[in-house]
Amino acid sequence: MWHNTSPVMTSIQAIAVLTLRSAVRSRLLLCLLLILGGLVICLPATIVGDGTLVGQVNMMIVYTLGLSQMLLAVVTLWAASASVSQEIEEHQIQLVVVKPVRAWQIWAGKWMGILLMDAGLLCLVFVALYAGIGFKASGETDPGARDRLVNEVLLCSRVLTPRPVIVDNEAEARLRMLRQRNLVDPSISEAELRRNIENTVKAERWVVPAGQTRKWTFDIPDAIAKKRDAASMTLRFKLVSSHRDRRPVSGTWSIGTQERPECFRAASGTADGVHRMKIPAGAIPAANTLVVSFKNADRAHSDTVMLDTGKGLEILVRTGSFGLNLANAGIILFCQLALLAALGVTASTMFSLPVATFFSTAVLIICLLSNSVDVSGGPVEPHHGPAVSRPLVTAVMKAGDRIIEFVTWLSSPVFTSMPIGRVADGTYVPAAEAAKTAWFLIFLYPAVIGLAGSLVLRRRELALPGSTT
Amino acid sequence: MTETSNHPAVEILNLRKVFRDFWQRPTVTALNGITMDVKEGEVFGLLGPNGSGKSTTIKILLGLLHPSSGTVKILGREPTDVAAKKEIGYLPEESYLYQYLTPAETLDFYARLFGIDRHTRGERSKQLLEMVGLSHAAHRPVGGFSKGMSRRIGIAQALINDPRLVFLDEPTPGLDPIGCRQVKDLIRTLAGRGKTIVLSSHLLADVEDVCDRIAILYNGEIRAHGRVRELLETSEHLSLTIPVLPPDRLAAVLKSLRALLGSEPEVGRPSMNLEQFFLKVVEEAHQRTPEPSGTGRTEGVAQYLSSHD
Repeated sequence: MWHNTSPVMTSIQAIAVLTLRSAVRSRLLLCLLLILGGLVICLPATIVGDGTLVGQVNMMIVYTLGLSQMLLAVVTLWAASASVSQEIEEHQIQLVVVKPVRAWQIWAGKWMGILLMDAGLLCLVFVALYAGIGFKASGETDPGARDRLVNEVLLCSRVLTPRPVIVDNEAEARLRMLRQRNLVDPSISEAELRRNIENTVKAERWVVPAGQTRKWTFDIPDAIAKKRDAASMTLRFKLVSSHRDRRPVSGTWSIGTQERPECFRAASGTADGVHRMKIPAGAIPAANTLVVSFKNADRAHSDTVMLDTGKGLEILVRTGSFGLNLANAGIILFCQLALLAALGVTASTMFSLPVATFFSTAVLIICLLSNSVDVSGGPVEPHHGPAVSRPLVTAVMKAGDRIIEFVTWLSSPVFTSMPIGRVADGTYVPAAEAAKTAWFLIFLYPAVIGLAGSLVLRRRELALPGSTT
Repeated sequence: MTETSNHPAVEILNLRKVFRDFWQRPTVTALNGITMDVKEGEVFGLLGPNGSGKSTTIKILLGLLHPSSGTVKILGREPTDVAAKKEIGYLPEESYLYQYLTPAETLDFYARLFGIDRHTRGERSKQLLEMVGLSHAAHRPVGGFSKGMSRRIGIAQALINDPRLVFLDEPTPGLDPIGCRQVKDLIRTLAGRGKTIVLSSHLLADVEDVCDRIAILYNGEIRAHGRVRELLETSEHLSLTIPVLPPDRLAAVLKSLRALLGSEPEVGRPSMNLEQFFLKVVEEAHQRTPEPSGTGRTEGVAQYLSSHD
């Protein structure tokens, strides 16, 4: 790898190795290894979870990967923010830029050095986690618990979700009915009223009152529809309850095509928590559309069933092995770190270490917040009193919404793929998703961010007397 | 005196540099319209007191600072041109080295930035470390070195690419007299091979020993510029050196001179300068003692730097 390379690559490799050496010799790597080692070894020993093996492994994956990712993200951001700024401050950069090295090569070398460190540490965490889970599973004496672990976590499944419903017509009909009955509050704007009704219609989809039936339609991809017999399918539903003392619920699930609901199964249980129902292979016809319905028992035998609006109902199709799933998740986590490193290195070409760290952290927080803010409903209107015409306020709020929407769109490749929870509950993390994330977070975004950093580095005066910006 | 060509290795035309604060208000005028050139194969000295603009000029020539106005060219190219940088060696006023690297790693790192192949890198690093007397410390981190030892590594890294044009910004401070002498020998050797050297210093004896031409900067302007000998020669006096004579014969010679000149000639004994005396004492001491803990015995100039192409 390191031999017979072009001078351009030789320079990048030299700077990457230097960056890595700096991490090793400053004992940063040793410190990280100790902390991560503590996380990976001590955490599984202390986790109890819900008392089951699946629960323990689930928690082990979430906590180990979550904490490792958080720690690595902080260290990556800090190390990247120090990478160039520190060298400018200590003047070593002067001896580098006078050599035949282009600014982008310096940027790329620093970035790759940090990626090498992250890759090594992530690999260690994943290998240790994999070994830890194997150790935990082998120590379990109950074969039932081991089978459950294998079926629910160690054999990952692809998740199919119901087709989203189009609520426009229903919302329009309800709005018309409210107007006819003169039940519309004049202080509420038309847009807000419609939005509220639409949200109500969407939420009702996940509620099945006693004695009623609700249906959900699933689109089955060709690849799964064709080899349905071989695939093992599971219906997973998550019930929620707002009351502490709810009665158990019971009802009948049916799964099949619109015309032939082939597979029936009565189910009863608690009104909250995640429930799984295995669908026997070959019990349902091969088709690209499946209809799942739930007929809730009458009020004497059941209560209202409420499904989680996010993960209320899913069909799981067994797809691959845990190791592969873990590897794909690892690639996605690595890509996220790569983007953070790119952000930090570019910030370090512009600012001193504290300012660069603050800047890159602020950008990260803004992106995180923008992804948790829902602006689809438009500006918030006052709930009471007549609608007031405030053109400036409205314009500013609209502009703010557009900015948030833009940032959300821009950062969506970073935040849409959150693989840790999926690995923990055995949900398939497709290789295609890992590849797409890699394209955005290792190639496209770092290229743009790196270009900006390289331009700054090229234009910047690196020997100003007593200045570190 | 070294052979120089008429091609300028460095061209500076009306160079002006004004440092500005965060709000872009001018704070200091470091260079105020200097114009000069350095011919290929020449050893050129930039002299001046602290803050006169020597280092600023060198940093602009290296692309580390941008001129406020005026133009600079090195080896016929822009300072930021990568092709020009391949031919340049630079020793800054402080040896800005990575404290966690060893001398061998330091030289290897900079050699890789030049795209030098592994074999050549190894050979040159070895020769340079021998040249600067640090072979025995090749695998100790630079962070533990004295200022003089760091300076030696700085000199070595500036020569790793066998450069055509070398910028030495205050090369001798921190070096012991042997090191100073060696740097001067090195400069002469490089100049003998047709390399161009731009030397900035306020140690006048160093400059006088090695430079062909000098420019004296003061307050960002060139106050004197030309060949060293021409600038230093005085037309009123002539010195004559003769062997030591018995008193009667000396009196006769002086009497004759007095009659010829019509004035009293100055009589004195020529002496070694302190540098020559120091080198003589250390050389004698070196014959009797083993390798010291600091800088070891140096091995002249690296072979690849002294051999003609």
